[in-house]
This record gives sequence, C-alpha cells and structure tokens, in this order.
Amino acid sequence: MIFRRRSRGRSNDTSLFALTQAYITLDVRLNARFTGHAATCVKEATGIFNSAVEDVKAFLDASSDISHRVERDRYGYIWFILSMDTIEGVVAAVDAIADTFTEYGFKEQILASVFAFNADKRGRFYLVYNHRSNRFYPFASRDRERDVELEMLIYSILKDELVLEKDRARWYPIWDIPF
Amino acid sequence: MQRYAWKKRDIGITMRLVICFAVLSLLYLIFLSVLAYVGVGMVPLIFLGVFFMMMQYLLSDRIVLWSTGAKIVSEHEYPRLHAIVDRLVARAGLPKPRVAVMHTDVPNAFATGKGRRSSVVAVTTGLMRILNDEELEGVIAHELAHIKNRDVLAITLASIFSTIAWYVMHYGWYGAYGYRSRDQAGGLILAIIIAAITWFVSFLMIRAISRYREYIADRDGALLTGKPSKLASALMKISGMMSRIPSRDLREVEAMNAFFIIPALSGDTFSRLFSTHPPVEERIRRLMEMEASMH
Repeated sequence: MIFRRRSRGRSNDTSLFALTQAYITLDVRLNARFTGHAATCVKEATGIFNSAVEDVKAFLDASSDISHRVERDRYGYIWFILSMDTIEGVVAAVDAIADTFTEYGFKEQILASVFAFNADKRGRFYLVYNHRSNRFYPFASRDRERDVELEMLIYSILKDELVLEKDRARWYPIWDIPF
Repeated sequence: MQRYAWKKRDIGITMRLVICFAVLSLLYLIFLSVLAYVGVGMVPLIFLGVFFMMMQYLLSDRIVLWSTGAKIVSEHEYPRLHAIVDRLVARAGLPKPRVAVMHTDVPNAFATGKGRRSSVVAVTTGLMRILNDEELEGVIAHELAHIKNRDVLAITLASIFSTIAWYVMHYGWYGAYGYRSRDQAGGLILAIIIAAITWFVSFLMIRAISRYREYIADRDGALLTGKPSKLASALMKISGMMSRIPSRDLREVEAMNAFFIIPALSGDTFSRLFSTHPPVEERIRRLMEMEASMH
C-alpha cells in the first residue's frame, strides 16, 4: 500500500471526525442530508508536491468504495472531489489526504475541505473545514448571494457538536464549488 | 465612510433621548433637593416627586416625538408600514398604535406611549430602505412587544422607586448628621452631590433593567412573527454586522493568510454599562438559538 498510515495520533483529528456524529443532528433538526460529496482543496506547488498528489491519487484509486475526480481551478488550486455513500468513509478519506500532504510538508498548502449537504426546502449548503484551525464553518449561497440566515441557523444547531469558527468575519465564501 | 456613518448618527438619536430624559430627571431632583433644603416636609416632597414622574410618564410620547423629530404618518403616506403594523396588532390582540416616521438614513426604530391604547411606533426611513418586509415585520413586532409588556411604564416605575430610594438616603444622611447645625451653603452643595450620585446609580440600574427588557421584547416579538431569524438578520443589517461577513473568496484572501488575522476587539464593559440595549451579538445569538429550537 502506497498510502502511508500516520505514525502518531494528532489531537485535531477529533474535531474533523466529530462530523460523523454531527450529520445526524443536521438530519434530525434541519432535514439536511449529506450528499455523499466532499472535497479537499490544496494550493498547487511544484517538485515533491507532485509526488504527494500521486500518492493521494494512488490511495484513492485503491479505495474501491470511493469514486473521485481531480480538478484544477482558476485560482491555482487542485480539488480532490470524493463521492461515497457514508460520511464516515468520506471523513476518513479527507483526513488521509490531509495527512499525506502534511507528511510531505505541505500542510500550509491545504486550503480547506468542503462537505456538501442538501436541506429540505433550503437547498444546498456546505460545511467548510479549515485544517489549520481545525474548525468548521457553514457556507450557503443563492445566486452568489450568501444565505446568512441559513448559515447562522446551521451554526446554532451545530455549535455544541462541532468545533466551529466563532468569528463570522472568517467565514470566507468559496464560490463555484465544483460539486 | 458609508459603513461607519450609521454608528455616529445612531448614537445621536439614542443620545438625544437619553440626554433629554437625564436632564429632566436631574432637573427635578435638584429642584426637589432645593425644596427639601428650604424645609419642605418629606410627605409633600414625595407627592411632588411622584407628580413629576407621572407628568414625565404622561407626556413621554410627546417628549420622545419632539426630541427625535418623528412625525405621525397616515396610512395613505406609508401603506407598506401601516400594513405590517395592522397584520401584527391583529395577531397580538393589541389596539393599533400611531405610526411615526423619522427622516434619517440611520436604521432605527422605537416604541413609546403611556399604555397599550396610546402608543406610538416609530421607524426611520433608513430602516425601511435596508430591510425587506419580513425583517421590518420582525423589528416592528419587537417594538410592539415593548408596548404589550408596558415597558415604558416599567421604566417609569423603576424611576419612581429610584427616587424613593434617593429620599430614604437623603433623609438618612441628615438624620445621622443633623444638617440644621451644619454650615448652610455646604449642606446644600452636599445635598446636591448626594442627589447626583444617587441619580447616577439609579440611572445605571434603569439601563440594566432596560437591557433585560430588550431581550424579552426580542423573544416576544419573535414569538409574534414566528420568525426569530428575521429579527436576527434585521439586527445584523441595522448594526452593520452584515457588511463584516466576507464576500471575497477564501482562495483570494488566502494569499493574505486570512485565517491568521486577529480582528481588533470591539466593545468594552464601560460602554455596555451605559447602554440601554444589550450587545447585538448576544441578541442575535439568542434569537438564532430560538430559531434553532424551532427546527
């Protein structure tokens, strides 16, 4: 197996893996379901970075239960877009991707991981995970206008279950998420 | 420039009200302490004090309208505003208050009046411009909740109690020291200083009560519309918080290390002490929690 298991436990894992519980709350209280799609977005670099990308691709290819595609955007970011039935599997895969880049020394290059949800009536929204602060924040938009109300509602619902970014000034949008 | 404009002028409107009532209260406290010094008995003084309070209460809507420059408007002039008020009072089972408008870009609103029957709800033209119908409904429901809860009466009662407390302290002081034997001019100055201190403390207490009733009005207003998040979003717009939500893409700002910028702390306890309203952030948090509990 090319993908490297991490050698030591890290405390920030728990804040990401809390999503595997929190999604139930979203389902119960907001009628929102995980779409099965998530992505990790990494700033492209050169040299050894390509080896990290190859490692990740090899790992994803080897994982039969995950379908994936890789896209590059106009900002110079590479998106590993994952599709999988269970949120547990997606979270584990996202963590593995982040670990691989971290082990190659590219932790700073990881922009965020994004998890897509669909809420009844209110439509699509995303939970954005910042791998540096280990915090989530919600992002919802309609026609390039942010749906602040929905974002704040998600915040109120999840604040006891996930480590969330409290400062709304840091809830940067990611427009045109490719899934 | 535009972003901060609301702050200065918003303080202007609130300050006008606060200063107006503060000066009034201070004036009659000084007047009463002069009377007390001249030798008017305790019982007539209390009657006079209560009389002043009642006058201030009875005239409160006129004082408020006068000091804020709000004008009563007809259904003809502001149909949208009147329609929202009509809908809400029908649901709340309240008599319809008079509706007033202030011509200013500062988004703001207030309610005043002696009781449920003779109330005024006033909004600024700026408020109507920036809020959509549902948000405006949220704000007006909040003001109607003030009327329904008789908050003007509550604050007036609190003022009367603080006046009585002032008298107790006033006479307690003289009882202890026997002011007749003291230097006359010095006694008068001392009386006024004590009056001012007592007034100041009660002023802070009334602010605190007012802040508490603000939360209640948020809650009751939200119960009336059934949409707490609309009032929350109105509060965000009014406070200018909406403009602090970033619209630039994370990937664009990442170059500037967006996640490492530590924002300047804002708001201190000193200004909170004087404020009649609780921090907007806290009000929004409570409203959104209410919204979340409905899901």
